Amino acid sequence: MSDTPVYRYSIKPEDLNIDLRTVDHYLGYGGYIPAPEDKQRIEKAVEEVRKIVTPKACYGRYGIEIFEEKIKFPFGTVGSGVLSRHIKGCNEVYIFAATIGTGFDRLLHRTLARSVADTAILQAAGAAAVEAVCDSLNKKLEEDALKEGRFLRMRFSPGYGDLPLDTQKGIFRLLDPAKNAGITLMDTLIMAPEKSVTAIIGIGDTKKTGGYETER
Amino acid sequence: MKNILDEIKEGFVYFEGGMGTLLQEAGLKPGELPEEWNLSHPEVIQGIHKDYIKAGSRIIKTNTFGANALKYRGMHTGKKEIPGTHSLSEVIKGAFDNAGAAVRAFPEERVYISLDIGPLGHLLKPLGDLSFDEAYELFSEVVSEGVKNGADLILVETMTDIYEAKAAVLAAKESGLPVMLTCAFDESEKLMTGASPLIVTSVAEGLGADAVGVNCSLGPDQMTGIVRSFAEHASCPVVVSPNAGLPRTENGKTVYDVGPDDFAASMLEIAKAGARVLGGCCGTTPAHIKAMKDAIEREGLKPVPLSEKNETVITSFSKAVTFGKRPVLIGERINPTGKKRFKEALRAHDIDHILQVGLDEQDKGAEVLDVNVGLPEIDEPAMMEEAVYELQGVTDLPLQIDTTDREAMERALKIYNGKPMINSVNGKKEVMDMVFPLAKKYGGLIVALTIDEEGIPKTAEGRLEIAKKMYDEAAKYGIKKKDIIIDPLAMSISAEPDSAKVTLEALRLIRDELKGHTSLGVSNISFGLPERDLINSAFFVEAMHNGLSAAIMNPASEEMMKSWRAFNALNLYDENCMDYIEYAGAYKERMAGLLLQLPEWRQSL
Repeated sequence: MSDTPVYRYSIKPEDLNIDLRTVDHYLGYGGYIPAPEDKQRIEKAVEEVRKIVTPKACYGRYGIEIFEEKIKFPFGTVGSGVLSRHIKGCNEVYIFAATIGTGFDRLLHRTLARSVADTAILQAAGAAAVEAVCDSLNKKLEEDALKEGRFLRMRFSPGYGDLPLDTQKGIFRLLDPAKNAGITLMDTLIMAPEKSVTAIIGIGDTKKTGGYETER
Repeated sequence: MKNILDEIKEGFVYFEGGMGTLLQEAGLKPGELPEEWNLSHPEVIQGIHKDYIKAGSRIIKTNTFGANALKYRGMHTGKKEIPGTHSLSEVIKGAFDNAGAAVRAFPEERVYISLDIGPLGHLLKPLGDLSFDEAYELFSEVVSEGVKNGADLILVETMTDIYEAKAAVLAAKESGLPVMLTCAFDESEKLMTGASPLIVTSVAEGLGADAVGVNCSLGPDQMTGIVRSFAEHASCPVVVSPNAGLPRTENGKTVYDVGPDDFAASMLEIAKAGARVLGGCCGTTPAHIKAMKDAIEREGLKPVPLSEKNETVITSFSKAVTFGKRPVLIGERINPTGKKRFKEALRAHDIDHILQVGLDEQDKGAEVLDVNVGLPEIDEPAMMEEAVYELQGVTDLPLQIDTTDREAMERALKIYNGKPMINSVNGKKEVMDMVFPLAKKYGGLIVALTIDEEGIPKTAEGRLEIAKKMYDEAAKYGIKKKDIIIDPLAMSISAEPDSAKVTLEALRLIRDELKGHTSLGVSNISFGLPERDLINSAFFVEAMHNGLSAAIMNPASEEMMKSWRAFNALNLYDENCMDYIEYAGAYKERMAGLLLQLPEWRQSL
């Protein structure tokens, strides 16, 4: 296996493209449009989140092998039919860990001490914010790959489909996100800070626009 | 024999550079634990140490960055699943064997071996899943292994959270060895959990660290601002170990973009900015260290002289409050005295109410929160620890630990995330004997009341004498004057008519003759009088005018806040009166709201 570095990535809070529709979606609005006073609360929460985020990520690029329902990563072989079909034809992956930082967790605690409803909105705003970090990094990686004439598959996280959550352990050994992005893995396999994401992105020679199976 | 601290006092000292990247070059696989190589590839580790010593490093770092009982089986592993195959004792002993062998190969050089301690990889509660005490125990275990194997000093490095750094430094100090702390900052010049170099310095010096600084995170050029900030605030030597810039892949190999010569040029600037212990982190090699040492020697550079920085600072994990400039507002409401609702909350273990009171004080403008949860019928130490823990989960304001109970004080000081205020000591021998050792161990700014076995002196001069006595006694413990804030006590003018005059005179004397800082529980002055706010706010202005550095007060008192805002605007503590203008706008609105309620209020009369 080749010696590959872990790269760090950061984006300024003001450049973070937090999508209000994503916030609405997480709040369960479906296709409905929030009432004006709700909309105001949502926008306020997003601005509060933007003030305290410290978006950071780290990523690496690794060779993989896919055989049947298994994928061989540098940290070991993982069984997942959904992922192996999703990244079929890829011989490499980007693996990343991204977060909006601990400021959000503090804000959440503070808000929880005062208003449960505001806490729910904040949760949604935080989730949309970390998605925005992932989108920003994803876009950069896509451009990098395109320069080599290669294409990325849609990102895929441990816990999606049948990819076991304990894949997190391997990812954390590989990327050392505690050091490289300030993200830690708790014994429960949940990450801290709360709004953090790890994901695997297949790199292939052909374009595949579709997603992955959500139900087996 | 000289120790490392003497050497640093004399001039520049060079640390070892990066280890991990060299191990990868030698074949360490991604995800493989580097410390296992202490036993599986001792010749590689020894070779790296030797190359660094040859290059001029006088402190080498044991290959123990990730050696703790979460990765290698040790006393505190418990039932956890761990990746390491060797025991913690084995990898640490291996690391020291290798470091020792390398040092022995250079009998003509005095080379120091530092026990290298890195972060645990978990965030501390309430953000993560590791308690402060668990973190402390994990570090203690590593420290005792290091001591057993003959460490000359301890380097706590790459810390990204000041809370974890505190646990590590506290554990390291127990060894009696010199302790250095270096943290990893990001582009915003803050730690991941928000601490600035000033906060890191205040906490580290409070805990008795012998040197403080920055490592990893950034290349040397992006570090200059951070180094300047350390040099501005730290009385102890500053340590700097940057990365060799950023990594990239070249023909399947990782290379860093700052070569030895560029590194040396940048480190020269860093040395000029005030660093005196110089090394490297990820991507640096013996060539980097050699180039740096040569460049500094070629220039004939002498380190910036060490000097005592006379700043009085307290901090939370992300906020620092400096005394001696704008008067500091300390919210007094987290206190059961005279508050029925708060007493009930304490008895019912209603933590939410305590948090609510604190958050309200913060909203109203408090800059520090006093925390007093003493009631005879509750377990004060447990409640104090819990209140501090919970409060620092919701507020970023520094706290003032207010208790007379030794155990409550110690438990709160231990788990406090930052450098707190300690309320209080006084001139009684018994109290000084209790408070000063705790303050020395954990760090903090101590409120010192001018009362002793004889009571409260009737004169300002008498209070000054007790202040001096307390400074002197604190000095015996190595507590600096800047970490004492004198409270010359405000007593009710209804009981003692000249009490305000005496207290004001004492404030002035402490400022002018002792060059000390002061704090007062301002509202005591009006006890027993009607419409107390009128007296309090007038006294507050006079007190600030006589040098008061901090007031313990109720931030909900409109009259007090008016006085404070106006005083700041009048005394150049409020640039362009911006704070005042904002306050006045909100004040006007509040008053208009009250006027609207007036007819209703009249009806109710």
